[in-house]
Amino acid sequence: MGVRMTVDQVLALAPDEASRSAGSKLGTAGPWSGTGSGEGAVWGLCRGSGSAPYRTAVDTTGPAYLCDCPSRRSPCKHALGLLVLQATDGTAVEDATVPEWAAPWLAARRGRAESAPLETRAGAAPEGPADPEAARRRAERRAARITSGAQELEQRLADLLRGGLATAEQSGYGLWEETAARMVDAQAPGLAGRVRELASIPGSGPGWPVRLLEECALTHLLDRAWLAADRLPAPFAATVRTRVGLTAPADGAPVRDHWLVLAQYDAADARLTTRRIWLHGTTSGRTALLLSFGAAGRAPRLALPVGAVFDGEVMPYAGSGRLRAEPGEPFVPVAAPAAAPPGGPVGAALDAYGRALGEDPWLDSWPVTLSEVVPARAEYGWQLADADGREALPLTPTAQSRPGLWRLVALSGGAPLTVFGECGHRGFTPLAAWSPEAPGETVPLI
Amino acid sequence: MEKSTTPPTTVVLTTTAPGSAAPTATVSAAAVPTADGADKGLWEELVTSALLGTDRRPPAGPAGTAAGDLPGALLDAAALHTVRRRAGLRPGPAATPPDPAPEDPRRPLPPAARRRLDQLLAGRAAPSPAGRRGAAPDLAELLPQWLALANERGYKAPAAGLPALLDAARARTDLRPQALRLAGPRGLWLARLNPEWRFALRGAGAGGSLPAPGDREAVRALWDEGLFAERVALLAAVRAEDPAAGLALLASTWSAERAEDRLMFVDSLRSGLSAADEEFLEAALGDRSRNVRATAAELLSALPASAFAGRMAARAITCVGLDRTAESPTITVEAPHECDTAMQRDGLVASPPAGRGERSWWLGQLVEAAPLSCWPPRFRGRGPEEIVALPVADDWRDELHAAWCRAAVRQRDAGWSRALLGSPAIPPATGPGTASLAERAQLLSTLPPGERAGWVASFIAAHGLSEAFQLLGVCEVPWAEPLGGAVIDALDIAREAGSYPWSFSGVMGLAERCLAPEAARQLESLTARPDEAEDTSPGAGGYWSEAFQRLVSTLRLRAAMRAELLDGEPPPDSVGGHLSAPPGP
Repeated sequence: MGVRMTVDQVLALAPDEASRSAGSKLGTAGPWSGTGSGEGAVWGLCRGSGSAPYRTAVDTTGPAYLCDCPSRRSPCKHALGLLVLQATDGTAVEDATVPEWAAPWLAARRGRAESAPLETRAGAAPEGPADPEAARRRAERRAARITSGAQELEQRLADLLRGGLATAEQSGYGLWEETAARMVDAQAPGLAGRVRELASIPGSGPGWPVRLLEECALTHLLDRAWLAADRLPAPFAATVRTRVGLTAPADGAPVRDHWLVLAQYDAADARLTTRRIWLHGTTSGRTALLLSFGAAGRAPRLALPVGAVFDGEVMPYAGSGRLRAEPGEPFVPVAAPAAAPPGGPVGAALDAYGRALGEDPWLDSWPVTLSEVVPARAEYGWQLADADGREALPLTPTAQSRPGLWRLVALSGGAPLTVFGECGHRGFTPLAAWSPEAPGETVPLI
Repeated sequence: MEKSTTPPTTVVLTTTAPGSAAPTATVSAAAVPTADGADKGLWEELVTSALLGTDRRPPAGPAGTAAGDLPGALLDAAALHTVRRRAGLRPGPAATPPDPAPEDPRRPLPPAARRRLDQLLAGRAAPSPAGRRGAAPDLAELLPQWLALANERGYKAPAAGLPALLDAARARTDLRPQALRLAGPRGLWLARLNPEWRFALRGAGAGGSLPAPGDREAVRALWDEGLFAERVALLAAVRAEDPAAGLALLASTWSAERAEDRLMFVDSLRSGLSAADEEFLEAALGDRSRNVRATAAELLSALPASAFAGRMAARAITCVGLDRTAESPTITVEAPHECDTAMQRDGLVASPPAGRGERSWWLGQLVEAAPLSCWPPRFRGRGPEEIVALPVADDWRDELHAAWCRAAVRQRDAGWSRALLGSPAIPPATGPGTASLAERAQLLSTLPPGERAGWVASFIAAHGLSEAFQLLGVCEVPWAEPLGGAVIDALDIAREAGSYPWSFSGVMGLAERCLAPEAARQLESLTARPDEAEDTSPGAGGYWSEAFQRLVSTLRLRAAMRAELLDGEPPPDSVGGHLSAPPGP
């Protein structure tokens, strides 16, 4: 049987705020009947507005959800409610045999779970596609398109620099929007994303010309790197390909570990919701970033509760310091100690970012753990200062305005604590913290 | 090293440019020249060129570049500089951190209770959509109970949960006292750092910022120099601790206070009122302000042994007595003919509100302020029940009984309240003393809790729920039997009568918060969806089933909440672990 999750962990699975609220309301015995758990699953019947109750089951090893309600959200509020009920009321969900309506689904899940790792490994092995020649031609065609896209972008940047950045403020968003669309046509989503970024800089407050020049220069660097990719060392070429937007398979050697979930947060734009999940390998000491995407307005599929520990493998992607990884199946929650990753002073955090830039100069930030730091308020806003009171890292402007800032300050109470976050050229974004009083408890800050 | 020309908001990090002569230099987002060094100068040059355009201002650095590729050369140089700057970033100077939060010696919440608090606070932030309430419990309504029990049990709030707790208290003033108590010293420490939580630092909630009532010097200083709100809070705190000290504090500056301040201050003597306050209040009857005089008189009338009460008794018994001529004992009333200056000094208001006769107005005030103990001797040793049962001549009955009701409430006299409430089975409109449910609720509040619950239970059994809301509101939580059973039976009857549950939503809401959790078992059978009977309102059965489900799940939730907060403690044997249980050791 899987490890019972806490309410926090369950609610962290919710795809959106409405589901979270609805799910936590259904987490009481009232509407439930026929509940039970066993074989790594939990199930029950939930009385809704209709005459027949909904049949809800959750495979906690996945997690995966089964519910015959009409909701398009996954997990739906019934699945969340069932898990909340299990988490809060020890007697409400007792061990039982899997009911008939859930057994086939669960059996199919188990069958898949056993074969899945084999499939993934098979995919990772150098086994060519059905028609290697056709695949090679497709890849060449796409590379050629990206190349012409990169050349066009170079031209745009040159035009901009020739006329001066001051004109960028007047020319406005439209010009960049069109360029971004051209990069999408060129099948270079990474370049398109950078262009949209450029569009938002003029008018982003004092000092925008410097930021615009920096970002233009880095975009130019990426263009140039792509155009010369065949002459670059292999790891750097992989980073360039990833930055441009070519997805490579997660072909790194799988790393098996107990993974502590450090943070999970979403960033959404009009097209896409991107979910970032940071993991810390408690044995390997490795940090891994899982990405999951959802179409506009839909929650990404992958959801892992902060503070939980999972046993499983992750397969790293090539490029960008091999941070990004893909979780293997099964990825099973375990009851394991979940202490904070080992950390260092703020200076070491900036060193780590600086070193990482050597492999990927387009990195905006790098995951680090700060130990023995205190939140303090400087003239410009909040910072995290070494406990010896000498050096400090400012928080990023976005982190300054998030409610998580106050959780961090409250947890500290003016005393040193351990903080995990992203450290970059804009400052530090705290994502999770541990206080000395409860070192095994991961407090999410986002 | 740093120059003051840099705007503070742009100081981000300092950098050591590799190979640069300057060991540290302030890097700011704005292109402000701050330090020497060739690297710095080159960057400024690049930014200027980029801003104005390479056509107008070719970059000076990369010499020997073809004019056509000037932008490319500029971007090359800028890229190099950008990456180098980012790679060489160094931490900035540390600011002084806030003083550490004071220690909070209270114990931490059990884990399950912590999760529950998060859930309740999250439920507050995301209220259920308007309209039908569904079968799920209303979490926001349970927060006050949870906070009260957690405080009784001597727990402290989890540090990371303080922001949500303070936000909840900011939005709901009724939560503030309990929420701030749970938040404790670290909550106040945090509130000082965020202007949004300033409310926590002022007014009655600022328990932490008031000096201890025993600290005479600090109390004196704040009393002499504090703002009005601080002084009111201080007086209340001192009065709660030591009534005599509070009175002494007030008396020391009394004559110098402004009239509206004097009213608030004299009103704060209400708590801890005793015979020791009589002298001060008697003097306040001569106050310049009429409102102060009236309040002093009201407080004096709650002291039946005071000289004031004696004067009132003497006046009242000349107006009300037994008719010696009648065949059966009858009360006769001779209302006062004037309201003289002595009476006005004792707080009587001479001019009646519109629509009331002068003499009955004066009588009402006299009887209300007279000690109830003066009546049994007046009526030849009869007790309150017998006196209330006596007929009253000339239609004075309602007037007289209403005044006795007000006196019984003011003097917290259970015997008279019992007599005036009469039997709960008598229809409300024909009750003895008063037909007003509000006054009945007040009379009930003077009875011991068990008796109160029993009275309301009989009332509901006789008259149903439609007029019970106010009466239920004064009963102690959780509802003691037979009250809980009476409410459930009445709800069941209402359901069978075919009405819709939302006609009883007020009582339902109260029941969710006040029924003893054990009642869930009794309610279980009512959650089933009944077959639709012919004469009921369409769909009512389903709605009732849903309403009972919510009631049951709320009661279960309350039981779970209570169990979580009592986790790991020996069960209190006296009261079976109710929400009103005494604090743990």
